[in-house]
Amino acid sequence: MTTKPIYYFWSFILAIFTLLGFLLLYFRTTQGLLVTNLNNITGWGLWVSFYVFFIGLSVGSYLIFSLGYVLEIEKYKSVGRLALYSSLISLITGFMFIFIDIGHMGRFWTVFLNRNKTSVLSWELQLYVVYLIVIFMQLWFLLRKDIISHLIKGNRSDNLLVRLVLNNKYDFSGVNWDLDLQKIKRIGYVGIPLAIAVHGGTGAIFAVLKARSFWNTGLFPVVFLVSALVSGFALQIFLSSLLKKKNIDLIRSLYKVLMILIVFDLLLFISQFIVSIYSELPAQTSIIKILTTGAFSNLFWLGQIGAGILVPVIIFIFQNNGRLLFYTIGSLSSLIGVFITRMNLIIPQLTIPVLAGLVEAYESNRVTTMYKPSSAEWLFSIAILLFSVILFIYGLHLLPITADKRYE
Amino acid sequence: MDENRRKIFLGLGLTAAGMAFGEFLRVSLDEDKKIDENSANESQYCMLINLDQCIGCNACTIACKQENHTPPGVQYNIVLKKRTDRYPQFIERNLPRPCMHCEKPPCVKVCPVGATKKRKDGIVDIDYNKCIGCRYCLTACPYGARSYDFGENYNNPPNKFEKTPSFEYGQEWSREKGKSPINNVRKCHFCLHRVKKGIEPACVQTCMGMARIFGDINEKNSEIAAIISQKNAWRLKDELGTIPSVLYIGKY
Repeated sequence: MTTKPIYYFWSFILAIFTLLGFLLLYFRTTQGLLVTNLNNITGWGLWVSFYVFFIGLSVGSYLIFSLGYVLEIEKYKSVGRLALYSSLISLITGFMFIFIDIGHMGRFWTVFLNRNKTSVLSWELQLYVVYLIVIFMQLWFLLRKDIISHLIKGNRSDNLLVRLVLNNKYDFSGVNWDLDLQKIKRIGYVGIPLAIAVHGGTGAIFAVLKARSFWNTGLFPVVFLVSALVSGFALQIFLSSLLKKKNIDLIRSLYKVLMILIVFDLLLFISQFIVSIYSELPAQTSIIKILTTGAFSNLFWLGQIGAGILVPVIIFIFQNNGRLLFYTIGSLSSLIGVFITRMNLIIPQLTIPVLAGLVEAYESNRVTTMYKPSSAEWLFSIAILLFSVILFIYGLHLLPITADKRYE
Repeated sequence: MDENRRKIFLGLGLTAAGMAFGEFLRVSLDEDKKIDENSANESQYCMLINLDQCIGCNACTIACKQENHTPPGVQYNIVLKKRTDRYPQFIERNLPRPCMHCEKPPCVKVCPVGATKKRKDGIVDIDYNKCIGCRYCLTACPYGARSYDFGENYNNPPNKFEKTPSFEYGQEWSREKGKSPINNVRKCHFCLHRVKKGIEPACVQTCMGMARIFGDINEKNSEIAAIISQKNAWRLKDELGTIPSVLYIGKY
């Protein structure tokens, strides 16, 4: 927490970007999805991939936080605050991506009124709210001691927060702060299964569709969860290498876990590949063809295999006790790899029409097997990413995220 | 500590049970509202398409476009074509594909707001004012029967014909920017507004090969029931267990 000029600088930047965001939102509202290259064959594209990626990132980070504060593995406690905070920002980013993807944005709130008990997406949307509340509660109990002591130190004991927590008694010593950790742990008993349900459910959104045989496997939600953990660990390594430079032992230990997860993720993927190839069903093998030699081969070999697996693994092998920078690069590469894996799991399956001759039966450029994100789609994505990064940095200055002295 | 933990688990259990009960109550109450005054009768609408009589002229596609004023990229009916062998000895077969109005529709199951429903008369409808345009149903349909209205027009600005409202589900829908049915998912509804008045769907009425028969299979003397009982009718992608209400006879 700070009141240095840098804080006002980031507040200013955040305000400007929020304003720009509303302008973009106006543009998107008036134009509808016309600005995108989505079509009636590929109904979901870049934005949905980002949404899935960020929900995964949030769940992965949340589970790392839980390792420290709920399962009480001591060494993970020092990344706990950062992990929980980045989990919150990732979740908000995911919400923004799914929000701009729906056709009638003004009706988004009706999903909480018009529920459908057989719809995975409906359940998911309700769970997101509970998950968001759980994160907020845990973050509050995690940070409130530091926030209150900061406010009292700055002679702002008339602040509403202080009055609420200290129950109108300005006696700081009378509060048993250890109870806060216990509360965090208890909320975590709900939070952990909830987080797994949230991202397993995101996988299930795709896995339950019998029309798309590549998705329609029981393995699919598990693949989503493991990739979520990969991205969560990668993000924590990336952030720790930038913000907690002293803590290289922890970063090394996190990187080792990342390796195990990457290999496990690969194993699941190979399993799915082998079953698909062996089946010789055109619906299954066509996906493998598109990925390995077709339109998505660059993304597959360079992104999913190269950036997602090879770069982090090579760094691990040759830079086992290396400098911090290599861990930064390795984890960033892994993050990009996971995002491209998300795209490869979602978009190629959609570009294959469900019936032979479906595309030829239409006369429209909105019915085509080609999907390349439009410049507007990239513009919106970059804007949201920038906004989230600024929001993240802003919160880093506002909240005592990195000020945890106990576990340094 | 242990006592506290037990209390928490008990509390959680009760909360979960309460939520489940509330959900059950809500769904069971909602079920009564679903019964439309028009769908309370016992009719089951089905369509039978004789592929041996289909010449692939796409008149059904045009009739559908005229009836429902659909924009480019939105077609409730299409005709799939398949060529076997090589020119000049090739054979071309046609498969008209409206919405299948499945008995177990995958699209209805996935809709997050319950905007698309299976009516008691067998027709799968969409509540345009409820739909949020998430395109989940479009992804879930095994027949590609659903399309999203991006708001495009054949002419810019739209001509008089395109501006004319359609009368889907018995309501007047003019396509104005940002208003339903723009930004909605749309699909064939067996011309419900015509069926309500006792008229056949536009595609059935227009078919010059008389390949299409539309009717109520629960009506004993209906033509469609008679033909289905005599001939070997088949369904598209029957292995998925969606049980379409559109039946085909003849070779594809």
